[in-house]
Amino acid sequence: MNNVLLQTNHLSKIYTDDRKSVVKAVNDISLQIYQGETFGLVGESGCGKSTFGQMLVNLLEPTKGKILFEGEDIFKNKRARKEIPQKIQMIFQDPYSSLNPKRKIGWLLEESLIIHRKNLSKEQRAKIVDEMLDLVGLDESYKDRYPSQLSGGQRQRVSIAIALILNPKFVVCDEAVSALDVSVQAQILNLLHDLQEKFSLTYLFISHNLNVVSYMSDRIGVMYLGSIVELGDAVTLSKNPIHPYTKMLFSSSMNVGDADSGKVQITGELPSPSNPPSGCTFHTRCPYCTELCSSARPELQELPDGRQIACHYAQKFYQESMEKKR
Amino acid sequence: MNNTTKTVLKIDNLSICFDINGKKCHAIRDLNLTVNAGELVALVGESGCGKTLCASFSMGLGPQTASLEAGSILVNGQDMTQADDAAWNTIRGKDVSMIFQEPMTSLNPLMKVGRQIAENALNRGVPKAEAKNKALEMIRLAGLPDANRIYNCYPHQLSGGQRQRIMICLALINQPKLLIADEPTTALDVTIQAQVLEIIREMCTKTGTAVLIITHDLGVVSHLCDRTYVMYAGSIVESGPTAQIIQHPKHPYTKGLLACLPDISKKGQRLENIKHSVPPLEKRPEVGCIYANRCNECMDCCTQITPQRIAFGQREIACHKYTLDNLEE
Ligand SMILES: Nc1ncnc2c1ncn2[C@@H]1O[C@H](COP(=O)(O)OP(=O)(O)OP(=O)(O)O)[C@@H](O)[C@H]1O
Ligand SMILES: Nc1ncnc2c1ncn2[C@@H]1O[C@H](COP(=O)(O)OP(=O)(O)OP(=O)(O)O)[C@@H](O)[C@H]1O
Ligand code: SF4
Ligand SMILES: [Mg+2]
Ligand SMILES: [Mg+2]
Repeated sequence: MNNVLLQTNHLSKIYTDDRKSVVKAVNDISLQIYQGETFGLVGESGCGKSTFGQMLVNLLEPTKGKILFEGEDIFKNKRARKEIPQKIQMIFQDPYSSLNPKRKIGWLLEESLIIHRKNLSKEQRAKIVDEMLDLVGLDESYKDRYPSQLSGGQRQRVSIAIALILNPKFVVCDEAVSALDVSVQAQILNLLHDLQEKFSLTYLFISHNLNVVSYMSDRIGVMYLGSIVELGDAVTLSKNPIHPYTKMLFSSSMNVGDADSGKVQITGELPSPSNPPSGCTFHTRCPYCTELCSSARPELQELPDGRQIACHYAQKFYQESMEKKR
Repeated sequence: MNNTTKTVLKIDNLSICFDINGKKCHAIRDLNLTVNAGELVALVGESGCGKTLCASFSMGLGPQTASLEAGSILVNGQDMTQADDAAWNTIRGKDVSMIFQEPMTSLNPLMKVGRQIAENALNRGVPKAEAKNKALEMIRLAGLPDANRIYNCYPHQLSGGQRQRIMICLALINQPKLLIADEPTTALDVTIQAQVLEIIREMCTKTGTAVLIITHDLGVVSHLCDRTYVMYAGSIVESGPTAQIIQHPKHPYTKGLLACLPDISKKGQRLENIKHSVPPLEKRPEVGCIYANRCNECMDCCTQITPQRIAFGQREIACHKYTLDNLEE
């Protein structure tokens, strides 16, 4: 069952802006995503989630590292560069800037069919477009509208339809439901599940909404300042976070009806990614920080329950949590 | 006017139409909404229900193709429905300010974000050096790391959440009387969301700024807002104190909205949702309850008679299931 579909090896992205300040947006991430799973990626704004996702769909060139899709380097040669991107699609965070405002919805959907499915007749294309609109819960009449005539959520549904119309294998969903109201969110999450089953899709699911991510994902990776700090089974991780950052993140998650979850324990602010702290990058905000933490960088290590954690005291925190459980 | 219950925004019987293929279609129908000084009020509803439209008319920024059919919009007691651009310009930014849903389209891509914030203060007569300091202060308040670096960034160099926080700085720098925040936190992560909402709340209580928060996230509403309006397809279907609405939702639409929220305990199960979707303007019924075709408690009368608003206590509800008698039980 555990076939690796996509793998990153030491993937890094460094931005340099005009003032010559350097931002390590993604810093040496190596992970594997299995065929058919939903891999959730969470972390504070600016920690590099979108940058990571955009490298996977070939929108951004990595500064360092490799991406393997079905075992093949996606930058290997011309053929790989041409064929692989079709199998990897993205649903964007910001539907406002990703839809061409001068084109009607019908055209936007049909476009990639015209380019990539040359054997289809006009009627066949129209049929697929109608089916897609229906799948994402939009009335047929929206075909003749321009993006500016739709509400935010309606536009997001259009971009989901566009991403799925070529039957990709791997879909990066970058805050794909964040702009949606809760009822459409529920419909879209159900839809993403259905489509996953129907077409055995694999998802990288990026979201800041922890309720959504833990509901959707099989495994979750937690990012902090460009690196993975905890990675593991979604239920284990969200019910029993071990890394001090994961704990903080999940304690600030808001649930309807939780009386005092409005009082969130957040200590400190996200440090500047252009000047990350030494040692463990989380040490400036960590309540358990020691001298070791500020000098040495903790590597990802595996715990008995299979999850990976980058913290010097991972074993200790794990033991403590096990004792508490008893 | 009594200072303690000063009304900052009062929308009365507002109806707004679009002309679609020669047919006049209601996007907002007979909408009533008030926001008092110092209050945090939520406007909740699905995508396409008309929340942004309602907000943009309250800012004098309604689309040109939309026509105001009936009703009035009072800002600080002044009817703005007939106001010209000049009248709006003196009010906008100073009295009312808005955080837009679309951070990318409302920021100037060619100007450093810090200057854009400072410029808002400059336009209100703040001296240049002070404007810059104020802008840096706002950036810090919004929880952005390294204010000096961010000040000198262009919008494309920021992450989605960072841009949204810049929008919040832009809107708050002149301490307006009314802040309309259209989906202010959907692009923000949870830790920052909590911080930003806390900033909005603090500011609101300190300066008496009233806030109208537009959202579909009932989590935001339950922690932050005093009162909530639930909007469906252009009309308010239920309103009242937030706690009451969340704990005892009455309207089938409100109940539906609460039932669809995901969390880990529902893993592996299908999420409940409301069948069909918000109908496009031209397919909305003229009579009967607009929610009827999606309602799982729909009765015969629902498609024939338009339900009227019933007030009970501090709440209002428009649904045939309820009469004054069965509400007061
Ligand atoms: N083109 C760019 N030039 C310079 N810096 C950039 C650029 N794009 C992003 N960054 C920086 O890289 C970091 C990571 O950004 P990214 O958009 O990947 O974050 P994110 O985790 O997706 O955040 P959000 O949750 O807010 O969308 C941020 O500090 C951001 O300011
Ligand atoms: N310029 C326009 N021309 C025609 N119809 C429009 C126009 N602008 C908005 N509409 C329609 O009016 C309705 C209300 O739109 P509005 O943007 O106010 O929704 P909303 O409640 O803010 O939704 P969202 O949560 O998705 O932002 C929608 O059905 C939309 O399709
Ligand atoms: S390594 Fe140290 S600073 Fe980092 S999370 Fe663990 S205890 Fe905290
Ligand atoms: Mg992002
Ligand atoms: Mg809107």
